[in-house]
Amino acid sequence: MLTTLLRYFNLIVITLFILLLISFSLAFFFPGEPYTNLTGNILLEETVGPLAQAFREGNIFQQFWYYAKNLSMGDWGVSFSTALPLYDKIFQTLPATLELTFYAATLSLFIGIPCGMLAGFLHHKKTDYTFMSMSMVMVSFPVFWLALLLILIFSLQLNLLPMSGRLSLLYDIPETSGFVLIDIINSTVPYRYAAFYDAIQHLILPTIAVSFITTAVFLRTTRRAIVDVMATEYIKTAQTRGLPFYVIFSRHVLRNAMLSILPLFAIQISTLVTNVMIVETVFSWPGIGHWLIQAIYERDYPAIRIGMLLVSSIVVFFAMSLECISRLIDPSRGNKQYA
Amino acid sequence: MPDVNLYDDEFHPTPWQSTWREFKQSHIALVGLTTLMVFVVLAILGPLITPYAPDLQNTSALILPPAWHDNGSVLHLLGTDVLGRDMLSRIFYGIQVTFGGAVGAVLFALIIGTTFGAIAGMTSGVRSSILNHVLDTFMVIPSLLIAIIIVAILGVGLSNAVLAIGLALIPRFVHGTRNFVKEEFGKDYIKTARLDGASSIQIYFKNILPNMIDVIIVQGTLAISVAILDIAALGFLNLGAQTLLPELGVMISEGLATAYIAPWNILLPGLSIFLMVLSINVVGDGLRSALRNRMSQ
Repeated sequence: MLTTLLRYFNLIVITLFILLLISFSLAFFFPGEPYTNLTGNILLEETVGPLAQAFREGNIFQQFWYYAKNLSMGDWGVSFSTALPLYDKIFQTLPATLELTFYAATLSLFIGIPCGMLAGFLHHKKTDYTFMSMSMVMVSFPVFWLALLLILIFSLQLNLLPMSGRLSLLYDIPETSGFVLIDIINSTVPYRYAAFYDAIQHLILPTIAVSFITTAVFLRTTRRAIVDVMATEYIKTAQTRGLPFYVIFSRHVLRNAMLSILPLFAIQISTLVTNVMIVETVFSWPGIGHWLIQAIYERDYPAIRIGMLLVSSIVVFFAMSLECISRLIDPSRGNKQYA
Repeated sequence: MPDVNLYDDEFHPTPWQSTWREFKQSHIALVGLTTLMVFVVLAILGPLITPYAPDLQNTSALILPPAWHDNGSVLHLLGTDVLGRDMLSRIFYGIQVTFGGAVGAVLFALIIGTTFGAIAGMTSGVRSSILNHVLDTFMVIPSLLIAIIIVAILGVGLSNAVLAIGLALIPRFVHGTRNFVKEEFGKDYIKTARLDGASSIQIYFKNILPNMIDVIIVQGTLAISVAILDIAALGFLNLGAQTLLPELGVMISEGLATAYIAPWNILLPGLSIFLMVLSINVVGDGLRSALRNRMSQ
């Protein structure tokens, strides 16, 4: 167990290091001066600081070292378009994205896994076919088109739900954690119930748009795992022993199916993040995806670099942690040959 | 009269024939294949059968609804957009651009990905470790981020979008090939070939590649659907194909301005993306279960 933990810790550290290296080299690939792309400032004769010094001397190892050092100290450079520190901006937008991702992932898990189990147990029955064709249709939706359809139907035609943003401008909620629902619950303003209701209304459409596709993927993965487990000999043995269904389910099926589901979910995280970023743009959700796509329109290279580094680091962290957990609860899975 | 010549008469279907026999068991898969064929024909022959040029502006018929609508006209079967361009022609051209771009991206990813995957599967030690680490890192970067970076470096345009999506697709081919090659190399028939003195390259091309080809085809089919969605998404976000090109995602983002009075301008291109992706997914899924059934026989 300790070796597994150490191995995955090692893997995460190496991967993050490669990402850091990529983000540093991006500054040289982007048009313009590398120093400007790294910090957002122009390298002048009188610019102070070790990174500027390293760039004047042209020693690339020192440049990388001081770049990493600046990152760790929270000096992430400034944006081209606003000249404000990127560190503050990132921690303003990141919670919004995490919030949306979290709700969408939770919704998909709560719908996708039970439906997938049902389909798996009723393998090659009508229910199974219905669920499978439904999920096939759901996977094929272009996520931005789905978001637009939801807006067209629920906001423009039926006038039920708001079409963009996180919270109506009527409500002024002091920002503490950045997660809008938590902020509202913690605030002491008199209209917080109305604000809470409004925030929920704003959340519904983006969450549905993101989780639509993820739910379908989760459903298919779960079904496959259940079908595979149900076909094994030990399930047949348990059935011949006359064990009741719920015992077989909780003791044998659920545990073994979960082992093969978890690593597949880890792969899905990056797709989920891509979908969240697109949906954010459509709904003007003030998250990191919306901000990054604005940054590319404005050719804001420091912002693109730091956004890429941060988002991929988070994805790496979650994906590897999930894989690590699945390894810890299932040591029998073949050792990774490398790492 | 009993058949004496048993051995000569016996029919041995080739792997492809038996795959096809399994594939056509499923009616849904056949419907999907037909739809996909229609889209392929439209993508190739589209420019020959469209009534108008995709950028021809008919100023006397702006925002015309589709023909089945009361105000529609038979001259423009699917209506026109805000500049009076015929939707039917634009969608046919759009299918060509989007589908062609997706196939290009997948071919690019397939060739590079299987090569790297084979190398990663056959090597061992430090080299393999470094290669695998780098590949795993690229696998977790979301495809939209890779596209954003490519666009930031090279600028916008359809070819850059195709390149970005190709790059983002490489890891999934590498992953599949790597595991397959690694598994196959432990089997006895490869050891036999080794004892016969075959080199790794000979083994790869003569023994492993023929066994791998159907796995690659299934993966490639499913990758095309991902590539179509990504190209359209990049076009929609204005990071891929640009306004003048009739790309389906670009058409949706152009239709946004008139979404309220002319919803068909975003519904119809989206519907064609959806149907295209759906038919590819159905075919890919049918192919996968056909292969699984063939193997289990």
